[in-house]
Amino acid sequence: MITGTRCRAGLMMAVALMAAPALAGPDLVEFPKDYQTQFIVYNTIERPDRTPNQIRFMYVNPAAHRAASASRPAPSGTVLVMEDRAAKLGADGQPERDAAGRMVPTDRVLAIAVMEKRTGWGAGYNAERRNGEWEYAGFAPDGTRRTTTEAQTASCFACHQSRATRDWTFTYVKFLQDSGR
Amino acid sequence: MKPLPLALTALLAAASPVAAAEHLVVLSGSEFEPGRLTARVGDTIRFRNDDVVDHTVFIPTVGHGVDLGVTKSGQSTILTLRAPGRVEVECVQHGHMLMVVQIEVLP
Repeated sequence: MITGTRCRAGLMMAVALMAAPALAGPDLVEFPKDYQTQFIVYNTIERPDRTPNQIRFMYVNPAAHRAASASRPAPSGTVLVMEDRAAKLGADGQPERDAAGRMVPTDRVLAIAVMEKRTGWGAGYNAERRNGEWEYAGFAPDGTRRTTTEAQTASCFACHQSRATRDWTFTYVKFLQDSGR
Repeated sequence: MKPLPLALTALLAAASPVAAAEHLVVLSGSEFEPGRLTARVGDTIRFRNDDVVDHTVFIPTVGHGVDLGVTKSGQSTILTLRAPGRVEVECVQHGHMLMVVQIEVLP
């Protein structure tokens, strides 16, 4: 028989669990809605293998960038944005290129992926999956979430695992190294 | 037909555009072979995956950044060198794989 006290305790526990923030998962990452105007573009990566051809714009938030150095992990609060834009095509259907030979982007954003680091965020994962304190999320161009479950970001964690020695980043720490920071 | 004077022949040779070269890089044993290469703007590099696992040719160097996507076992992918500089080539899946390409401008 369930007593009234036990029932109330159980109900309170359930409410507390519902209200508790997630320990891990893409919901931790908020869409950085001002990234195009407030963040720094530190690299662009062409994707000629994709249809349509794309250019990836890589952004970092300025506050984290000011504190960043290749000799230590990126600080808690670092937000990296990977924005895929369609390339501009010429009359021949091939990507237009600028004077430096780089693909010319359009303003058409196709997808946005964000990786964010906060102290403690990695604790929710086992050692095999964990990427330090990084968490990942995918968004549509209007900011709508495209990833809502941990299963949907499993490929992010798996792929970035190969760059554990660069703080799990493909381009950012490399940029810091190459620019002598 | 009269042969061209030597000076004119030399002038024509100097003015002729140098044909772009294709360089072969083999991905084998999860290594790039060769690991260093000097090439010219306009040249291409054919990356041939002789391994049994997939690789991805990826350049994170600023100003040259490109991801050619997955090159499956037995397949090749081609990179066109469009600007001078020192470029580092990596594999997305295998963080230890690295090669350096020095891209020079034609004199």
